[in-house]
Amino acid sequence: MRVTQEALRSIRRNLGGPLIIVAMALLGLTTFFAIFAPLIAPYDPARTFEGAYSLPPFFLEGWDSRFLLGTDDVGRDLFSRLIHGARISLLAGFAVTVLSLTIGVVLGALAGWKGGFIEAAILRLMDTMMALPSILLAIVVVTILGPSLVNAVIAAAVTAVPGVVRLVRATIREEKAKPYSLSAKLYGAGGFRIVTVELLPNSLAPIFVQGTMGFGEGILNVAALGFLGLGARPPMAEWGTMLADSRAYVESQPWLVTAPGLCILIVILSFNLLGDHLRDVFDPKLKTREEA
Amino acid sequence: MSRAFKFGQIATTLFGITLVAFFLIRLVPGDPVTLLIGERGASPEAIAELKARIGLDRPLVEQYGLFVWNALKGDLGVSILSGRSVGAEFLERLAATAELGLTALMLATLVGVPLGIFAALHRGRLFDRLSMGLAVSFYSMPIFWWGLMAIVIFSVKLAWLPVSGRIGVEHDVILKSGLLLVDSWLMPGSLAESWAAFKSVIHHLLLPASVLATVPLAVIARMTRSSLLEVLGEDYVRTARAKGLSRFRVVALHALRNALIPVVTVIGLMLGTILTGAILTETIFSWPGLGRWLVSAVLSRDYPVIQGGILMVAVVVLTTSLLVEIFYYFISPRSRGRG
Amino acid sequence: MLDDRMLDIRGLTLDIHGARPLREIDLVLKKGKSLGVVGESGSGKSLTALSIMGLLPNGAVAQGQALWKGRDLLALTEDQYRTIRGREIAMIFQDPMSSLNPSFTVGFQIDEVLKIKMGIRNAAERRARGLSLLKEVGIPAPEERWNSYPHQMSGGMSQRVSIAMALASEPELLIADEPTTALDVTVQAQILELLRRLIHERHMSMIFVTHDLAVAAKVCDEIAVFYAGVAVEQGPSEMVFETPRHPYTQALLRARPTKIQASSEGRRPRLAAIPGSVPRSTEQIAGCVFASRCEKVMESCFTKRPPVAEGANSRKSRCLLQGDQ
Repeated sequence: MRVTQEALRSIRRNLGGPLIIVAMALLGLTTFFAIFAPLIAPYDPARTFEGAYSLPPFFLEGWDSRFLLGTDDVGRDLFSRLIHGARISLLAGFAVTVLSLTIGVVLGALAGWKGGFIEAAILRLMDTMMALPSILLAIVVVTILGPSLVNAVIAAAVTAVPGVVRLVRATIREEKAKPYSLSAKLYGAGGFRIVTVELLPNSLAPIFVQGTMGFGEGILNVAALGFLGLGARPPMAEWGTMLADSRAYVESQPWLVTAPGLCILIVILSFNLLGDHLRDVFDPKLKTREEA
Repeated sequence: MSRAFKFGQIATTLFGITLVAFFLIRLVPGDPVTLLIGERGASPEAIAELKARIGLDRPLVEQYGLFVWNALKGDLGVSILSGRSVGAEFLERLAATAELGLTALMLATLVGVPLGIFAALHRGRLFDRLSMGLAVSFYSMPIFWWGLMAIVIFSVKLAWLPVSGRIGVEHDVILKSGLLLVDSWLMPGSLAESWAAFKSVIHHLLLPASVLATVPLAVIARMTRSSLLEVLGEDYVRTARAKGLSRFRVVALHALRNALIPVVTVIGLMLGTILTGAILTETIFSWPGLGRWLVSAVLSRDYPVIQGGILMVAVVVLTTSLLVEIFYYFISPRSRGRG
Repeated sequence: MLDDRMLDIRGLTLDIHGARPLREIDLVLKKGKSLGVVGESGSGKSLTALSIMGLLPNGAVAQGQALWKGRDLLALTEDQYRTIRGREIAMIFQDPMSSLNPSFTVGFQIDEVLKIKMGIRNAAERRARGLSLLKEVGIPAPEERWNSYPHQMSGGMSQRVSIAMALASEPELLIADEPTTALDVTVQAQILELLRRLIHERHMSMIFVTHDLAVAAKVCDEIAVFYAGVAVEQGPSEMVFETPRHPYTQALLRARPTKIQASSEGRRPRLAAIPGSVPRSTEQIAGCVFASRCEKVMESCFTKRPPVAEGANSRKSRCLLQGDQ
């Protein structure tokens, strides 16, 4: 009885305010849409309906009950495209996060554990990458690989790597200095084992927070590249690309621009609220560590 | 961290950037000469000249040395699109971006710092919650969408501000410094004409600069708030209060003086964020700056511009971080070390 | 009798977020005297000092009275407080290194007091005054120190600067909150000696907060012993030290290692630890706060709050045993 009460209290405390619950609900909904996009979306996102061009959404006069949020200039259903966009964006964000965390954790752990020349080399490489503003670094990658959704994901992941490396290196170094890692060493555990079994699990919290923030940022960067024409190519239903596509109609049919933008904002805002909150829960001191 | 080490770090980073720019052309699929001169209309003489300039038939190390040497001389090649020198184009574009970026940074600071201060002083109350909620929203803002919305609202619906451009066409400003805020006062004509041109420049700047300021504003406000909250809990603030100083003096002098040191550093290092934002903002507002220049270069495969532009942007970023370091040295007595 | 009471704290009770770190504190400081406030960490001694300065943390609600020359400090507005704080009453803190503002020079921080609190307009005069203060607290080469930043000084030096800063406003009362705890032992003695000398020369009163009963007895005329937010005993230093009245004070004195006497078998006598633990400030206590650990505990101790029992030589204690006498 006591235990459940304690657990309930801790859940309530860690849940944060209603804002966090809303953020989590929105992310859950988006994930649901993303997974079941083909089932939820009324139409194929690429399907064009002849004669149904530029129809307004339901709250405006002249809407068509077949198209809840209206259609774009070539007669594609906006609602269906937004739902499929959720799929692309979440997948892209996920891929960026996994890719950047994998590379970042390996390089960061290596730098933090080995020190010396390897650490210096890795850190200088990261400095070099950080000297280029993130989109510019992405531009370098896209220049080499050519514009496409996959390459935009790679580019966004590359720009996210330095942040992860610095964080992991800092936490590993911090953990390394603690008595338990020393005692592991005294017991004769190998370096690889200490890092993977002892140090990394204890550095998980900050990495997790970084991952949550990075998820949102990854989505934003992929969308930005799509908007610039350096990412997903039309007619793909990617939110950033859709935005760029309907730029010309921003005056006559503002909802074509408003809707995908709002989707991006809501998803990223949710991720950031969640990340902020996780940071507070896991480690109040995390902030100062990141800045150091 | 010692000063010398910091400078050494910046030097190695600069070296790294030259490598990136150098290998960029060699990593793109295709023949570097074709990439650098364009696919059409290149005379055999021009090709031969280019080959000699980049030393294509020599070993890679020499090619790299030549690239750095040329860059040091200010020779970054010729744009395929415009046929003009990349260096000259860069400087022109840099001025436009600087005008936009610095205005945005100023706006973000002027709004963000007081916002953060008020939020900290009203910690946990409505103002704090509202302003920090706004800050997270701004921080999460896809500014390419935000900019379009701003155009729809302020330029199209309300018709308060112009949609694009840097100045009204009726003003005959001659580019001297490249900063129209300055050049409008240097143009021939009466003071009234200058004033009108200056107003037009401000008018054109307002919307893109506000949009560009969105994310930095949020970062600055959050940073100011947390930094001030931390400092307000410091022993020396209690000492200042124990000395019987007014609340205003305690906060505005004793606390802020210390709280703003990290904020100033963050503002200085925010140039990267500004440049990233500028690339998007410039695209939306047709602002003739570095961002649009580089994006259109990528889209039209203008490789000399991509190569030179990336190198130069990195140089600007590194120079700024160096300046921030030096500035930090002057504002923080502690960083000056003992003795 | 009443006239020589400079500070008279009556029934000071503090509530912070559901906790009650101070429970009806009674404390008297006579003019020109020094009072040592002794207690373990968390006993409320520092909070009492901060209450006098009006520097309580946000959300703290104080009840009772703190009469400073007849005026109740707890009833003052922030503006009224400023005429007393840093002017009539000054304070120095535990960690001298972090108590000085890292961004300003020593000179600036002293000058500020002379300009704002003392109203000295002439900058040269302020500087001369400041330099003589630095000299008074024993800082060598004050001219050089004037332009130093806090991080360029040692802990002892910083504490001397803090003291000079506190003296700059010529206060009638100096509150020293564990001023030597953060310092090396040799420096501690110097600072204690300095404080003792200054109090004497300047005819100031002092409240000296410490966890070390012996130090308090050495430096102060009177001692007040705090336990769990209650001033359990107050009286002249030697008397409290030699013939403690309250069982807590008695236990405290037994618990400290005094002379190390080897017993006949060559073993050292065991120290008498106090069994049990200090009640939390969130606990509601009807009777005596020490009852649960007291070896002379009676049944009534758990139900009846001991009143202040006044004895000869202005000794006071809060114990039912004393009340019965």
